[in-house]
Amino acid sequence: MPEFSNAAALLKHAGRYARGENLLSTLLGLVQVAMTISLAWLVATFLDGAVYQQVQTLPDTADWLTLAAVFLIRAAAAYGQSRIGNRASIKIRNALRGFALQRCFGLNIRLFPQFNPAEVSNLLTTEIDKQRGYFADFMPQKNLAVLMPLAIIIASAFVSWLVPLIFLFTAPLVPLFMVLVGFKAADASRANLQQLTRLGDLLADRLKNLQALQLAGSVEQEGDRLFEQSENYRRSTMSVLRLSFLSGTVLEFFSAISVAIVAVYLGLFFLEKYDFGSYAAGYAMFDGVFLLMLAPEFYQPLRKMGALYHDRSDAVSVAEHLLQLDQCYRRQQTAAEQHDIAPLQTLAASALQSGEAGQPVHAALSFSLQAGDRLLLNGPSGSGKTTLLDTLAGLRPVAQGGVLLNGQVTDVFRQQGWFRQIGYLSQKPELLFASIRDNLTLGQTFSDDELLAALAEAQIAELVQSLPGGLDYVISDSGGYLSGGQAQRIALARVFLHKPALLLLDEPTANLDQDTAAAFMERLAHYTRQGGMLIMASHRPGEQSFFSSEVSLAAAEHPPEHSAGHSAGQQEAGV
Amino acid sequence: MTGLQQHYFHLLSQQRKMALLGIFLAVLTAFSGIALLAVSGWFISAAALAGLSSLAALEFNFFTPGAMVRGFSISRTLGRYGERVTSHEATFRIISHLRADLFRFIARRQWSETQLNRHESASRLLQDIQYIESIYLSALLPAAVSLAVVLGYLLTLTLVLPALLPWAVPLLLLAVVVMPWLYTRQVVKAQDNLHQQRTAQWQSSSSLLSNMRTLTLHDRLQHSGDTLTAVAQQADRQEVRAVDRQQGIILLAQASLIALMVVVFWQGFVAYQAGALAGANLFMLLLLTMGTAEVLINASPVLAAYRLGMQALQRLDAMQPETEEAVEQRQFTAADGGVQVQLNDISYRYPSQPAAVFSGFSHRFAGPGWHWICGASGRGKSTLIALLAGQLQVNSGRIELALAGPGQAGLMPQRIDILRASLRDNLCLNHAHSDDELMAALRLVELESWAQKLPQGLDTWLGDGEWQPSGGESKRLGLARLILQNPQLILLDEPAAGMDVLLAQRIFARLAEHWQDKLVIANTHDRGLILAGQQVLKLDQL
Repeated sequence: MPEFSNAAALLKHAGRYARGENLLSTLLGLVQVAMTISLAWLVATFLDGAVYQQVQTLPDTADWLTLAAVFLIRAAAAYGQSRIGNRASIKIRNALRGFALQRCFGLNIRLFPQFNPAEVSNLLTTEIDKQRGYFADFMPQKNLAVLMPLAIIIASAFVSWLVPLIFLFTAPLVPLFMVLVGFKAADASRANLQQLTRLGDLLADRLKNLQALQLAGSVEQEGDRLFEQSENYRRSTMSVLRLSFLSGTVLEFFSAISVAIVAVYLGLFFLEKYDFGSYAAGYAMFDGVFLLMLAPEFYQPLRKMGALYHDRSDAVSVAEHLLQLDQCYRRQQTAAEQHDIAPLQTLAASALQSGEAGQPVHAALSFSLQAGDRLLLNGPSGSGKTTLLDTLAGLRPVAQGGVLLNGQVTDVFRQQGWFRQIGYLSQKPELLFASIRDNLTLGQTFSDDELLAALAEAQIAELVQSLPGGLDYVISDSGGYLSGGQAQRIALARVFLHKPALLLLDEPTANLDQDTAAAFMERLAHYTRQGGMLIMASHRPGEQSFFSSEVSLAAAEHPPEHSAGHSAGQQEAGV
Repeated sequence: MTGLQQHYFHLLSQQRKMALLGIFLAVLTAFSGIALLAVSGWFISAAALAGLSSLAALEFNFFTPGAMVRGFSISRTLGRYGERVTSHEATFRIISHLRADLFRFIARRQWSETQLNRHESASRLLQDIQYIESIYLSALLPAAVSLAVVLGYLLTLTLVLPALLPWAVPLLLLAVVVMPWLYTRQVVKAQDNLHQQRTAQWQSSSSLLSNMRTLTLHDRLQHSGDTLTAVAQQADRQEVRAVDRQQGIILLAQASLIALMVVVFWQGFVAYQAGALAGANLFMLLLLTMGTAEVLINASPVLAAYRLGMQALQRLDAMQPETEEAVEQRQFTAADGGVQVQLNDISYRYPSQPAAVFSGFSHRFAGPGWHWICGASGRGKSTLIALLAGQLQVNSGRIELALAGPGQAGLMPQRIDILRASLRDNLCLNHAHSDDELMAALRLVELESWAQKLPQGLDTWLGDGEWQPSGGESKRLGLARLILQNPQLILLDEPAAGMDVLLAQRIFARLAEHWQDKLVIANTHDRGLILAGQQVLKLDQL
């Protein structure tokens, strides 16, 4: 995969996933233009024979059927083009999602906090979903906007040399004016881009956060403000639109004026006002009709493309997001060679620092654990507890120092053999929008009895059985029946089911009440008595007696610069 | 017609000048385009025929048609520009009113917290609003243009060759009545299905991105990615199938317009032979029909756009909150003897759950002072706060608040909404407060220096796509909002969740003093926050 220099290059590359479709689409476009020329020829022949020639020839039934057929083939080719474009858009959108997913998987949790989950989720769904127009309609039209007018020029050159020159003269002016106007419009929209994006989805934001306004009792005032802000939005958008509509107007102008010029030129030629532009024989009515039929068609492909232009700007913005993802991906070490990992007996850290290479987030620390041990990680928020846990889990490369597995220094980064031995509970329990059963099994096979036993160990079996559907109850984004504590216990049941050798916990009790937390800790004790080893980040003072050892995280000597931008709390807030 | 539908047309009629100007210019543009072709066609045929004899060529008045051709090309160009500017202007003006009105309409109802946050209903709502916003531009305006063009065309035929009318009328009806109707059938249902599939896709992708650790450790990332890809592809296919069918209808509409063009041309030849039509008019007739067909091919989607908009208005009208709009059951009495809350024999059961959370529960919270509600999860701590705040209504029993009125009860919910707006607006929430007041409130929750370090201080924008406060910071902003609102009764639902323990202890010690003359009722799972002299209600012991 090449490194893309800009959004356009990425879009172009994406287009290759449907090369066959594009070729076919171009061919169908050429069929259309061929039919357009045939149509002009037929109509010109009919009229010339019937009204102009001294010996009158009238079209017979076969001629009329031919005319109808030409019309129909042209329409059918356009229809075929749209179908093929649609097929291409499925392929390409799929490829783009694959591209984005591969970057997400490569970055894994290091995707955050540069990106927040909602942002990436939006990219993978709505943003890419909406690209049908660009890949189905705009992209095939790009080649045709050049080829179709060229065909018209060639056809008209058979009867006149001046008319194709008129076309040739006006054609480059169109893109030129469009670019000039386009720059102006882009400037205008860049000038208030921030205002436009802020105001554009204000209503969505206010509905999402309606409760705050309802509680403050200021819903009516907010309605007034929404009106004012929408009016501001209208004024800024219209100032951009007034300019960008100009580029459409330029096309419209040339398209209209070229018909007028051709008509007036031909009319006056016929009336013998002047005598140039034609080949030796002058013009017959055939030539006049033929040229006038072609004149409006010359600009048709460009006009069609102009109408699809907003598809392009949408596509460019999606490509820019993909590009950001790609660039972030290229900066990180993402691949790891798989090697055998022995079953865990003892775990130790020697002068271990976690974080990005050269930018550790905490000072070096060492510890050593055996089966049944319970280690407490101490430290205020932001001291790097989560980063350390992620490093131990093999989700991040070690910044400095090493992890010792059964006494051997082992690279655990992205080792499937290590992942299989780890359980991980985060502060906000990770539950899929899927059935409770799928949330527990995660692709492996367990009997219902095993599932219920694990749920019972986590003291949640009774609740699960009372839910509609029991184990098949589907967790959704509406939250439904599960409270935070209950969700945490389902995540714990997962641990009892898979029996990891090492359990990592990231402040799992922070959102639990005291009694629930105590019961939770009791279940953890049960896990370690069975030979499990656990490392838990916590700052609940009451829990310290539970642990067999403790390490405190201190700041690294050269603390990384506080990340600029607004990413600080996104990981937490965005989930 | 439902209330909102009437309201839409009322808004439209308020903007009728701009809206009608847009339609007028659109019709003018369409007429100019067709006339340009027709007159050009007549001009060159007539000139060619006149050119056959030198005398006729000399006498031919070419000024008028030449001027008409130039005039039509100018009016087509300017008309198009004017039409686009005015029709967009009208649309945006309607949108401004519509957005504010729809917001008020939705906001006046009591929604349960999750309902508007759920992706499915929220995305549906926004899609509906888009449909409503495009009624004028995608339905009314093109419908008016099509109608005007059809009438203009028929009128011209009547003048030039009335014999054509029996041929033209049925074919036109096919193109502008039958096809739009067929098209609509392919849109409305397909749109519903697609929305459902896109929702499933969103769930799949959101699930993947918020469970990255679990999925990686269990080697399920690839599987989840494949699922997402499959769901997305299925939705894409469904979308494309619908578009293909719509394009199929457009092809049919094309076919009927092709039939119109061929028949008109053919009948023109027949009339020419019979001497009923001048030779120069033949080409004009064809170009007139072709220009008309080009406009009318856009008529097919018009009815569908109208239906989608009307349906959306209807759906919004029928939209009801999940929590039945219960009548306010709390009773407010004069607060002569200080603020207090009395619960008399109250019962509450969630509609979806078998067991009641409270049955026959009585308690008195006497102010001023702090009351903490403690207890294991599921015992009803948050339910009690919601009942006191009037977000839920008791099934039986009475809640009496000795309070000046509902406005004097302030609630801090568990989830703090951060608006996409400046920090100042997020704190004021449309009430007036001075900067000093804001900073004082931020100082109490230890956010003063945080706010000062923000790039533009109080004017820094927060929310989606802007500066995102962390979970703990959001909670403290929630507290700051209440400090500014300064109600007599303060209800806090898990106010310290997500905050560092020591920080929370400092903040609540400070608030205990600041709110000492209020009645504060809060629930927590952290007993370390409770200070000496504050009341504790343990729900476990019921």
